[in-house]
Amino acid sequence: MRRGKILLAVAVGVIVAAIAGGIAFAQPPRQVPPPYAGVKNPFPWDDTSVQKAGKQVYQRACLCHGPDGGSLSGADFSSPDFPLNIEKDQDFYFWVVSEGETNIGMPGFKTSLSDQERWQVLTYMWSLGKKAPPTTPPSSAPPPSGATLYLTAPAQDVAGQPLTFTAMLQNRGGSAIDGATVQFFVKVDFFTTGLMALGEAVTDGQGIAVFNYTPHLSGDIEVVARYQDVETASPLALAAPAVPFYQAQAEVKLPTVGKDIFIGPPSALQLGEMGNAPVGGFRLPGGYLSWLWLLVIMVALLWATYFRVIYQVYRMPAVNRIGAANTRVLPAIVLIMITVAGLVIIAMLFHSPYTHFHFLR
Amino acid sequence: MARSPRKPDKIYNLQNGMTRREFITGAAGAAGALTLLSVPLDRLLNPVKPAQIPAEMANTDEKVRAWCMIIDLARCEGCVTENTPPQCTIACLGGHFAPKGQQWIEVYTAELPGGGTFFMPTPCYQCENAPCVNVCPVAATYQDKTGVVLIDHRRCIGCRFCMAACPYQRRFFNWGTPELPPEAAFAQYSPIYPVPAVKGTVIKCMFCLHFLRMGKLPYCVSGCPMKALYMGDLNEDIASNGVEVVKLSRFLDEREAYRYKEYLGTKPRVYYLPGYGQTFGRKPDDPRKLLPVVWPWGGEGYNRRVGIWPWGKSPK
Amino acid sequence: MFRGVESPNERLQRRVLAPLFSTGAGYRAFVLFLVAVVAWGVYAYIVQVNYGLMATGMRDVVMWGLYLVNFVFFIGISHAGTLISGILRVTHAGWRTPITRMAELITVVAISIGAIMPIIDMGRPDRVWHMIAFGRLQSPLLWDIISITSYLAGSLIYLYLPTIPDMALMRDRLAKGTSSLRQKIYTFLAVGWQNTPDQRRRLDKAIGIMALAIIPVAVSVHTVVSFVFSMTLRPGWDSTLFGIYFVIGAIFSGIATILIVMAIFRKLYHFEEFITDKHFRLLSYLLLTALLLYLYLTFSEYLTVAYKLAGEEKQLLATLWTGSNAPWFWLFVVAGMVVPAFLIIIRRGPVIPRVVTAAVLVNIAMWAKRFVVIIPSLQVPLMPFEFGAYAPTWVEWSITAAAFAAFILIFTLFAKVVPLISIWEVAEEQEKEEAPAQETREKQQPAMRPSPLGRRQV
Repeated sequence: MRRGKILLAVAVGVIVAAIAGGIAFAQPPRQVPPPYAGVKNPFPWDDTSVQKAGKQVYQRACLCHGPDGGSLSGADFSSPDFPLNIEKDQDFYFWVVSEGETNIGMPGFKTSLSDQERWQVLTYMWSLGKKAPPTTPPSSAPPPSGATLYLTAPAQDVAGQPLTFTAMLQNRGGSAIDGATVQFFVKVDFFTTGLMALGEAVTDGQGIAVFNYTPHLSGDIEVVARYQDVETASPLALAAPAVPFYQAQAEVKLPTVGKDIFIGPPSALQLGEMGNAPVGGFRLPGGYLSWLWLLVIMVALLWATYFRVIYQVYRMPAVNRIGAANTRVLPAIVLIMITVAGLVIIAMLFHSPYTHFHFLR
Repeated sequence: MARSPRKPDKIYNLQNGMTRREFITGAAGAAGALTLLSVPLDRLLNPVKPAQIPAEMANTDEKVRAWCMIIDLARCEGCVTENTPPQCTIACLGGHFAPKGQQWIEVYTAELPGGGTFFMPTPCYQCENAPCVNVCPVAATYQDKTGVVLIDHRRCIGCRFCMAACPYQRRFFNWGTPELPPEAAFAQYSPIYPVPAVKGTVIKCMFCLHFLRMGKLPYCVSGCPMKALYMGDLNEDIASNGVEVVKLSRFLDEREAYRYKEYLGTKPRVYYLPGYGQTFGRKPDDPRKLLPVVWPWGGEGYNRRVGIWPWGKSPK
Repeated sequence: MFRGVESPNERLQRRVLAPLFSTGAGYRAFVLFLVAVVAWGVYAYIVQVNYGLMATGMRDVVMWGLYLVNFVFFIGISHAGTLISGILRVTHAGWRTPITRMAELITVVAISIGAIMPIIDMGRPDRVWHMIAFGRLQSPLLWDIISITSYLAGSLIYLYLPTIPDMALMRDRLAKGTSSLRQKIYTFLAVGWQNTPDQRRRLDKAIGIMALAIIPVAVSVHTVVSFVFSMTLRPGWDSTLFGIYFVIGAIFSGIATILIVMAIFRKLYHFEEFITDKHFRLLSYLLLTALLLYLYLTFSEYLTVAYKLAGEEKQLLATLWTGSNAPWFWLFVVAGMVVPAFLIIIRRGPVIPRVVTAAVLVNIAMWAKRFVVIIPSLQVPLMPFEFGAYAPTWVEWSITAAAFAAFILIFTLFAKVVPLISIWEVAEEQEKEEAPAQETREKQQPAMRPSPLGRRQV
């Protein structure tokens, strides 16, 4: 009997603790300090003129959050529960807008925006969660057809392999529907979840419509077939292709003997991945028999000519020593300068960064 | 060679400089050392820094992407019905704190053959054969492996050769220190999110690559109220404007897509679907013009005049 | 001197070395003026570095302006030295001797000033070293760097070599009395020249090689400068003719510059005996040749564009021929090609005023031509918006003035350091001319011979 009472007490305690913890974690993480604690929006949340004024403010100061309010994770104004949250915790949001949360990068606007402007922008943010994006007017719902649609599609494959989807359409009585247009879609995530229309197929005498599709997508998707108001789906897992489908090319490919020779840091081949402009390396485009040699030879010949010319001056024999004059210093200095400059220029001919992604395939 | 036979060789060398042998060895040694030094010197001058891109912008997308944009001109009506300046431009400049005067995506009013007009939003076309990347002398502008043309503002020397080379005039120069709101200082600079703008460098649209990597749409695409801009992946043959998803190849073919000034051979990554805003009821001879773009900051922008004794008077 | 009569050689040395030994007040005032202009230009540049390129008139549409015009202009006139010295030396044209040094000096100074211009034009001049550390060989600007550096090095060498015997002359002239700093410098630069046959052989070989080597380098320099423009897709620039067009234009303005410099120094320092009508006449024929070639190329360029009137080119021609840029364009055509041609062809009146007027007109017109090549092509809109506008500001004009002032200043200072006429070459040439007369005289009086350079002259 006593053990039962203890058990009951513990159970109640755990439940109370869970609820309290839930409440605690559901609250905004910090207590709103005065003078912000308990402040309320002086405007009605659904006042469209206030929302319009707030939109002007938003576009001036808040576009880090994106035009629809959903660009920054952790503060998504476009989600449908945001209007409820902001109504409930309006003092918290007013506090954040006014004082900011500089440790996470949110500046405070109490000096650049008036109280009125800050409430206007919060009213506009309330409306963001309420707003549905405009699309072309929805077509009228198709009449119920009472048909049944079966879909046969492979469960997994590799992108780039041709697939066949077979749809079988039967009417309420179980007999095949002939000549009906079945639409095929793929349900995929690409910035939004949507149905990507693939095309249509017409059913034959047996009510079977066949659709061929070579996917370029990869990942877990769903194949969807639709006839009027009836839809069926079938999951499909596609592996990524070995070679990407889209091969950009921007040059005229000249015949070369061998691949480019490259000596340099590996980051030079990682276009932009390091967050820096590409650094250079020593390159021979087209392998050892590169056209670059022609240029290098021309430039080297030129600087070697300069060298030879000054060398003639260097070699001019001193006839008799004139005082303590050192007649070879100037030519020697010039020779060294020529050598250094010539070598730097030749190094510059070989040393170059990769900037085009198609050359690094 | 007239050489006094009584003087020892050493003194002769001292007074007449080096011998030929010494010179050649010296020069060769210096040259060799310099060449050997150049590789580690290269690393010293541009050390491979750890990824400077902020963690949330790091590329976590395992898929190989080939970003492109499709602009449905049948849906673009210049935001004249919204009675605002073009929203794509406003969203972009607001999100990037673009200096006053720079419209990285600019909506032009173009002419139809019959005398009517249509509106043409024009971001950077991120050309595959980009003339700007071809001419940059210091590799400050380069292509990401998804095809987006980026600029590293720590490398750009401001020669503006890329601006002369761009046949679409989509690159802008920071002619002075940009006047930006204080919020701009919170941003961490990286080539894919070039905020704040750097004085003396070239800047342009980067397809909001920082958003694309996070799985979000660019400012212009999500900011368009008519959902006229689509973001696409040529590799996966897919495109989306944030509301609907389409098969890219089919979309382009069925809507007769074209690229602007394609004959120049730049191979742009932005496709236009012909139209004049007719999806939302606009007629080609609609007289309403685009509203002028307003920047919430910037004073006179880069049009300030610098007088002969400007110290302290004009803002820098 | 022989019996109180100055030998031609002695007169040559006296006249040419006179400026090196005496400096007037006018000279000092002039130098001060030039230094002031250069200092003002430096101040303008400091303002530009502080405030950014916003201090200029360039903006996003017309993003290249006076700085690049000056760049092309100065690199253009740098072809003077190569043509005169190099080609005429290779073809053994004896009349070149009094003008080679001035020509070579024009090259070195013009290249130096021209090469600074793109750096002044940069938005981030603190990052110039990026072009060496991260230079992309695919960029025409890098071809510029390689070519201009090679040309600067080559023309410095080519300027220096023929001055060696004259440095030795100065060294010997100053050797009387205590050895001053000046004498030490000349000794250093003269590298022990004593005009021995062996030294002479080496110097001739060196100069001969350089004369030949410098010609292709010079052609490449202005070709790569033109490639900066013709590798873009702009109307007016997207032309296959640009390489040869710019090179001929450079030779054209280079010869005009030599004519101007020759005329000025001839007047100032009384070189009438050495730089004669004949020089002006022969150079004017070269100028005419270059003019006709340039006219031909201009005609070819504009006809092929005007015949088709493709797209943006039509707007370009409209602005050039009848629009806001028309004054500059027609100034170039009339003052740069038509009037000088007549001035040279119609040989009435004294040669020098005619030819020098033609040269001055040509240079003004060629500066206008560089303006007309660069700016209108940038003004033409490539997208559906308005024509660009460009109005250079005080900063750009100041720096342009400073560039010209620096050019003149370096010349002025150089005139006090090195003889402006290559004494030894002129003396040799005079000897060669007198050689047939000498032979007859020798048969009669073997004892009387002017002494070759190298023996101390009193």
